[in-house]
Amino acid sequence: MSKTPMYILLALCFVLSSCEKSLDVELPEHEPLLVVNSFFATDRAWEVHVSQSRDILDRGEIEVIEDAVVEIWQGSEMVTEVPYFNSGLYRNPLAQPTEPGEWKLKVSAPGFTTVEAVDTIPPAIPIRSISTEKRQLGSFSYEVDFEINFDDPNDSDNFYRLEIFGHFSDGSYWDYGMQSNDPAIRQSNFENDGPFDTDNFVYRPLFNDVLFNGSDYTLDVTLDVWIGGAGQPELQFFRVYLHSVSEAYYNYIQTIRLQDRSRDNPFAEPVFIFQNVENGLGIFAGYSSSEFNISF
Amino acid sequence: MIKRTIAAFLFVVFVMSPLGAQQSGNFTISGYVQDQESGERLIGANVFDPDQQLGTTTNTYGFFSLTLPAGSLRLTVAYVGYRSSISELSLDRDLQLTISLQPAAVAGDTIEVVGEIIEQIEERSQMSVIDLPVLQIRSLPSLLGEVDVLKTLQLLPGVLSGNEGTSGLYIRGGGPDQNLILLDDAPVYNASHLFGFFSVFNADATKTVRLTKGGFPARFGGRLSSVLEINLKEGNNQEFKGHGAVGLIASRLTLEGPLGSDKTAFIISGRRTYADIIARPFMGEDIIGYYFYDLNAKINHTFSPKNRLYLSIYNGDDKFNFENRDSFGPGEERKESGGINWGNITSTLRWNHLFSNKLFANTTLIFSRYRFEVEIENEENDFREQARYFSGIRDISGKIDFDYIPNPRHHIRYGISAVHHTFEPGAFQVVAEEGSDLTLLDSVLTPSAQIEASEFSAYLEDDWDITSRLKANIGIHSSLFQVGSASYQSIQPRLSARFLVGDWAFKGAFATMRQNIHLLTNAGLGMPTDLWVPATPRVLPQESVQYGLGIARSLADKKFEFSVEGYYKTMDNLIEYREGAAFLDLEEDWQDKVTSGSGESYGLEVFLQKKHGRTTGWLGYSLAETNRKFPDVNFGEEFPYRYDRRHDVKIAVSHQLQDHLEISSTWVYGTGNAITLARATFTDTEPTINNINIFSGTTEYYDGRNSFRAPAYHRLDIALRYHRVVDGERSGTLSLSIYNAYNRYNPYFLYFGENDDNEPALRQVSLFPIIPSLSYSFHF
Repeated sequence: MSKTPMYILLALCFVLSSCEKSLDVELPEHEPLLVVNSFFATDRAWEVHVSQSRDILDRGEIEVIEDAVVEIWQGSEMVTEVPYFNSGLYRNPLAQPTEPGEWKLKVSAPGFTTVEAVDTIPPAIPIRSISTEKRQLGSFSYEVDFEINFDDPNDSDNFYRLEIFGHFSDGSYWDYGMQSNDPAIRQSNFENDGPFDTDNFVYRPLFNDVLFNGSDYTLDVTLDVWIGGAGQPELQFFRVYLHSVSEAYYNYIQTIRLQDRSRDNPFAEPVFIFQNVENGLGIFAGYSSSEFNISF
Repeated sequence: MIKRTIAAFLFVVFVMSPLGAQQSGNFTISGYVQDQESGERLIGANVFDPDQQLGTTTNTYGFFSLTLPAGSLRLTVAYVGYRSSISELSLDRDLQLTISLQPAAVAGDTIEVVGEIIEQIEERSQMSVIDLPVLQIRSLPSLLGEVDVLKTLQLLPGVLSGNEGTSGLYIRGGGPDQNLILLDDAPVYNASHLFGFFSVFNADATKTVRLTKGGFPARFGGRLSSVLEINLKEGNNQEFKGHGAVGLIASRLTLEGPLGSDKTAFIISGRRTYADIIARPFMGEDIIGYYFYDLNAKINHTFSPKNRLYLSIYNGDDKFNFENRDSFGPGEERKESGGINWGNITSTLRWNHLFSNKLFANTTLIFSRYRFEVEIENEENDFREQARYFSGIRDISGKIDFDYIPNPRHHIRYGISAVHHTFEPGAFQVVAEEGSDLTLLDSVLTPSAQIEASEFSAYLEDDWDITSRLKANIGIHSSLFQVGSASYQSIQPRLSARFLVGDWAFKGAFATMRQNIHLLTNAGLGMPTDLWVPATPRVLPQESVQYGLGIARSLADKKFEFSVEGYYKTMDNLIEYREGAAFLDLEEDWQDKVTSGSGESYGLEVFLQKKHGRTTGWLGYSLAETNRKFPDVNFGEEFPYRYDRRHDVKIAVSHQLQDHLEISSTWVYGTGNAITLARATFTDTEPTINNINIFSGTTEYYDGRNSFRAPAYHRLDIALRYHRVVDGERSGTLSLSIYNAYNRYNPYFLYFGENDDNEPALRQVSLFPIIPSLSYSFHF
């Protein structure tokens, strides 16, 4: 954040400090709500995290719920129950969404109102092609430009998320952040930190198709890549994931990031987190992924 | 539509004006009403013949025109605080008069008699208008001894103050940008000093204060919620006079007098705080300081009975500065310095011309500029970097207004105006220098560059006595706003009417308003950082429709005025920062940071006022509700406006104990502000292809925008004023003010912190405990 608001605050504090007096104000106690978090996709086992909200003045640990009943429904049929795994996580490795479309989550726990959420898995959008160009910056560093091409469907509003991993010769991988001046990415991400931060760096960017709805689009991003020296694992290829995400997924991540970004700015308006869980808090959001490997 | 408006305007100018030709058997008395001692023209003085029950009031320049049947009459002129003038006249030709009224200088004079014949509330067609006598403003208690026009206005029903101690005005659910604040016709874009704790208006130089909250006459346009007209004194054209005051935080001095003859007069008035000067000797190498000053100057010259010229200038600035030095060793030093400056300049050149005894014209040229600037500079050895942020607005405008009074039943006003706005909605410059190598890193980093816009308007209104019971002000205001490729035009009909039933006046009003400029603000404090921006192709002009109904009458032998008014107002195309956005997100265009929505406000206001006698003051109560709805805020759900105040009680009383001694007191009570507070924290997640990634407990849950009510606000202020009288005239006044007399801790803002037992708590910061202050004002 720029320093300027701090100087304005400094001036205001100077003016007010001699008069200020603090005292307590009574705040009605918050009745805990059930919090469920789940992202689901056709190639992924059902996972649901269940916990309860904590009063803003409570400094204790967030309490997870271990005795909830977690059910997955499709239409009017219950498809599966998701058993408790650990640390508030309910997991069914044997069941996963079988097809794109609408799915419903029901969670009930003693002492809480039953919560429900509905969301869809959007169809995967294949990556048609990726071209890269790399420039060596130093002995062990490169800048790699990616041009990622795909066809955006014209019959719907589409939301996306991009992930790029570097895979090394020892089987390890690295989750890369990236820079981008691509207008689609710039309009949806809030990673910049004031006017001096000109590299437009972002992790796992979100974007939507407002600027290119229904057309062939090429997304531009750049990675700063560090490779190890002699004896270090060798970077072999990049795996690029283009996630087609639901609108709920997009809105939730957007507001989570925005709240985090503006938390320390006294001049920023408060950010409400997008929720789609009826009678509770949290998110139940679908996505589908397409992937593309390209060598370094 | 605009063409039709212009055609109507031309019709009035060229067709109706000849109506001023003499009607058979009638003659016109015209002229000016002025203060006998200073020559100051009196605004709103009542000029009438009590026998025929026909009359008029003086306009902003003290001019009146009254056409009556030939014969004898008792021309009576009355004005609050002055002895009335009654002249027996035989009207057999047109007359031009300058009527001088003698001030009823001290209590015990014939003010009560004056009260019998001034225009009463039930006689006026307009509703929602309050004239606040400057003497009354001076007599009420004040914070730190600084008499403040805007803070006195906050004591009226329907006018809210926003936060503790600040001078912002929130009128009938509107925002601070929706008030057209006119200082001698020039718009003032930021009317506050010291982050809003004092207003820029110097009461010593102020002649009249009028606030219109609804039922707007057609001559006003450009704002949704109110018009505040502040007219400066013209200057004493009879003798040289001076007055000043010494207070705890500021002193002020005003000089006025004739220049050469009584045809030219001037007034100059200045005020400055001096905390910075007093504190400077006690500071070491690290310096921090703040001051503000105001300067009002006005000169007028009467060229002939038909021509008079006025030039008025206001300049006021706030300056905060700091300088820190750190030394690391011989020759190794780092210096950080900077400042925040903001202020207004306004100037108005006005030419009064009398075309005939029924047609008065005023031509005005106006310049107004508001600018906010932050400068920060770092120096370390031979390296220097400097950053500068600035924003502001600059207006150049011209207008012509006509007053045409064909007969006592009609007072027609019409005019046109043109304004050229230059907006600077935030620009950021950075310079870095090492040795002799100067690098301009980027001249303007902010994408929001200067924006030029033009605004044209025309209006026509008639104050029409339809029958002895029914009186109406009917008008139409038209505007055209051009910015870039966008052009917005509007026709705004206005109507206010009064119908007498016995002693009661039933009043109604309807007004549509259009505002082509917006204020970007998110601190709610009236911060100098607030940005004025124009309507653009993406951000539409604000619009409102306001309906009002009320009853009014005088009580207790016309010593009191009583009114009850209800209103309903809708507002469209309001703007708010999007959630998470702030004014200093410099990489973003301001248009990307805002969202548009609507507002609704309704309420009931009760007002009981006593304007004259030994005891004066008022009691006001308002019951109101105001909400906002933005698609991108609060998930599209309606929410209370921050300054939604359900109950608001205001009491202000002054009493003359003896000729030398006055006591006054004010008490205010208001429902607490609606604020947004996090109520809980909960787990969130940001998955990757490989992991669900649960993060615990940092994400905040809000149960709604502005869903929490801060504690109620109430405060009692008391003042005692002792007047020193020499040779029958007041030569000085010693004022003791006690602000917040019962030491109530009112909320300034709330935050989550720790209490004295180190436990997490919702904390309230209160600013002003009981504050006694002493000031002395003097005259010579």
